[in-house]
Amino acid sequence: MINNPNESLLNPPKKIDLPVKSLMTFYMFVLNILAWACYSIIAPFMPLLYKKRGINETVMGYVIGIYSLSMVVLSPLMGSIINKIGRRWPIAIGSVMMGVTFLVFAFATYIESNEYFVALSLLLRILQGAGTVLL
Amino acid sequence: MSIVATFYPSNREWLIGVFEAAIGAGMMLGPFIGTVLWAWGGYVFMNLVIGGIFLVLALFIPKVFPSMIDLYTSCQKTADAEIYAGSSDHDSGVTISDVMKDLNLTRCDLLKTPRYIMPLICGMLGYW
Repeated sequence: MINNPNESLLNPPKKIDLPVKSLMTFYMFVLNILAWACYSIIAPFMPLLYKKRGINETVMGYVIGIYSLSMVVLSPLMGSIINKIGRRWPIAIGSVMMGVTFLVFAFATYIESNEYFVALSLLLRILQGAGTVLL
Repeated sequence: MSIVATFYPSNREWLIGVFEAAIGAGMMLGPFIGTVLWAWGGYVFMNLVIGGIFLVLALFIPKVFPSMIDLYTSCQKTADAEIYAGSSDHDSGVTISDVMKDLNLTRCDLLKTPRYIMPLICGMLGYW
């Protein structure tokens, strides 16, 4: 957390070594690939899953599209927030959020009611979009 | 991306291009990874594996990213403010509009730049 902007002028940060830099770049690269793979990962077997449960197929489009919608809404907000709280914790929070939402997605199939299942998947997709923005 | 872009000030455009490629590769690889894991162990297994990968990657973030990079944000802000105010040593006082006035560009010149024409051709071929 940085409260005083003049603090950094008095104590300029030390140079970061090249191996650490490359490692961070590579890490962000992997995280970006994974986060965007999550956007399209449910596309192949969602029709099968929804046909088995007997859910209307238009709902499928909403579940896929709401990810982009949450990204559109949240990216400008996160940009301004990240400038205030620093850049390290948003990445950690984002990847934890993605992990937890996938774990919840795994156990969402055991819900029997179709309405609750669709509502939960919409909510989880919004959270996944927020996690991608934080990365 | 915003973290990494501050490390390579001279190669920022190259780095942004690489990350755009990562986005494209991720969207391409998603259905592939999903189908392989789905065929291997089913829906629950696939979600558990992807969630587990994210949580394991999140464990190492405090080690990989030193807390120093939080300071980079405010430093960049003050540096940007100096450049905009014109008090920085690196600022030569030349703006983009001054350069554009001297060049006398026409619309035909836009079609001669490969950076503009190649995406145009690719897009037209793709839609065709």
